[in-house]
Amino acid sequence: MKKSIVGVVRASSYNVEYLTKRIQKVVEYIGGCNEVGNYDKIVIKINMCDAREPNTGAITHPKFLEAVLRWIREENRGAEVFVVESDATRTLADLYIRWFGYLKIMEKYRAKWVNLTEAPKKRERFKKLKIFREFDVPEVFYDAFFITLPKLKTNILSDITCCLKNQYGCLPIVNKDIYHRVLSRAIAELNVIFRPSLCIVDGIIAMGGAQGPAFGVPIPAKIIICGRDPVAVDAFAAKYIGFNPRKVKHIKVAAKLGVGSLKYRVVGEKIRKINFENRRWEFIAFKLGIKRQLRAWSAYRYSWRGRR
Amino acid sequence: MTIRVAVIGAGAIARRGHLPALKLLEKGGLVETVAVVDIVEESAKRVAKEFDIPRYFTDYREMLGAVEPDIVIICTPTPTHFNIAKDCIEHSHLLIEKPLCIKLSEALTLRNLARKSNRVVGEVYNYRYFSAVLRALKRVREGYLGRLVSIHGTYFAHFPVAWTRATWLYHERGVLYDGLPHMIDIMLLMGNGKPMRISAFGGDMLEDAGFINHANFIVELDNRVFLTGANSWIIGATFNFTLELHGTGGFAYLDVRGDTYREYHGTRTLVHDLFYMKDELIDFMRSVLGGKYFVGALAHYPILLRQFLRGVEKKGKVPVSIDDSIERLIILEGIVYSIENKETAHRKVLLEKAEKESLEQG
Repeated sequence: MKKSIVGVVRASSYNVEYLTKRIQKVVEYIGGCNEVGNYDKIVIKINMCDAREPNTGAITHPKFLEAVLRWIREENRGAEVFVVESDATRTLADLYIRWFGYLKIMEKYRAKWVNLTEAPKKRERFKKLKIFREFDVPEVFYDAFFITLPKLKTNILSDITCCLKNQYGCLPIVNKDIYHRVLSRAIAELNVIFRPSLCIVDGIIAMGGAQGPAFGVPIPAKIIICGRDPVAVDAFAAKYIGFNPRKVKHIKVAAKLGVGSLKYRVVGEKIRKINFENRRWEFIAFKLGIKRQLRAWSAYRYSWRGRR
Repeated sequence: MTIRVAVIGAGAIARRGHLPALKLLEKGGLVETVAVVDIVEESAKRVAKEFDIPRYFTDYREMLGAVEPDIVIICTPTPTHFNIAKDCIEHSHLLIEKPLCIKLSEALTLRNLARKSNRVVGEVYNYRYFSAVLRALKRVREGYLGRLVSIHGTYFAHFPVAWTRATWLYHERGVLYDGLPHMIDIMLLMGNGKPMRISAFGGDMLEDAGFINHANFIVELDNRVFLTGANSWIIGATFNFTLELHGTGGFAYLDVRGDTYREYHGTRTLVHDLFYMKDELIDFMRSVLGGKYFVGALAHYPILLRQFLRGVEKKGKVPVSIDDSIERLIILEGIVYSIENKETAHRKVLLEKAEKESLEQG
């Protein structure tokens, strides 16, 4: 099987001009991307999982989006560009897009905002899939070149959240947690439906620790990862964060479903190994549901005092 | 080349901090302590004998003419710093114990004199070298706490009645000139900005002490980091010097005196605290067995002096230059102004007023 190419560059700051050059460089490393210049419609999926300020490493940094838009506009002035995200239990997409400054950036680069939860959809059948045999695909994705801009983060449920997990946000419903019991399969199937053509990972401020994807430790990893194969990019990212990619379920399932290959070749600059502060005890404690238990304890204590 | 150092003031901080550190540096041939000065002849004589210093004086002016030191370390009571520094600055570089002066205008005068005579003036802040502080600084600067939003500090001590018998600290600005400068130094180091607005409350909380013995303050830095703090001699929790760092990516608790640092992201649980306690216990045992625990912040004087010497030789940066000291004094002056006038102190107003006074001082 042919190895997918994963490009890596160092990037130390969110200065837009500098970042644009870095993005151009990393795209060059994977052999360029002519489609950006040829398509009339480009869809960009950002990661906006919670109301967390960009420097926490929880959401795609607005400056990162700006740099990507700037690069796209340099390549293709006329294309219609859409920035998409959906509502979720902790995501009020229409609000966050304004709060964190994405909207101003989109206006500057003539990009349009689409909240996938409210966007018009078309029902499609996917015979090979188990969970999403019938799926309402947002129309914005038709005939579009799809770029995903995930963050490099840990996730208590899926170990890592990067390219593949970012497409979970394309699920246009609010209560996304109904699929948490079959999360790996759901992520993999969503990547069959929404397979990104280009993945550019914002790992400048990444996130580590057991409380990702929203409240982990901001990690100054200072890298950008890029590739056309989301499985390969995730496999590299998992290894970089400190997980064995073959043990990360959703990566494995996605590879089985043919989304991409687990085998990859890294091209680009040398990067240093970073400690993502993934403490084993913290992962165990949070996987055992320490938060829920704490809530239960405090509820018990409160009721006991009440009785007295 | 050996640098010749003279120490003015033979009190506790000279005996326990500066002179042992100089002794250590003397072994490496970096410096030579040439004289010690104290207005009490007995003290000067005793200290000179204890630290093998060839000459002692009771008048620093006489010392300047007689031994011509390259560096003068001033560790006399704060109200005397300005006059001594003004007289010494033409002759040598100065390292002055914190706080640099009582008034901001005095610091501006000193800066002008230092520029005229091309001298280096540094201020002593030794608490910033605690390993927990250095760790916190590294974490903040590298972005592990996300964007820093605010820092809350507390410095509570008892009235200085025992250790140094420092009755000179009971001047009108009282508690603010005790440990607070250390706290402000670390806050500005972390906050990395210039103070723009200062509001403070407090004053004399006793019947008729005649000096500030409690203060709560808020400072806004130019990079929109907020510093809040409580500083007191009357709170029943003495020797408490802690900082809380609030960043968008997490929350950190820094116990400066205890030399411990805890960082929390997301939900803080008992498990986190237990693991931190385990680490702190190990650190505590190590510092007790290594003897560092019993020396505390005084152990940092050799590092500080070495850095200052490098600054004087233009091989490095002075740890706290006079410009940095002025930023610290703006906050102290702002707190006093705000308490006295019951209004917010603005950087521009404070500096304009101080510059006027500085001109009058000549």
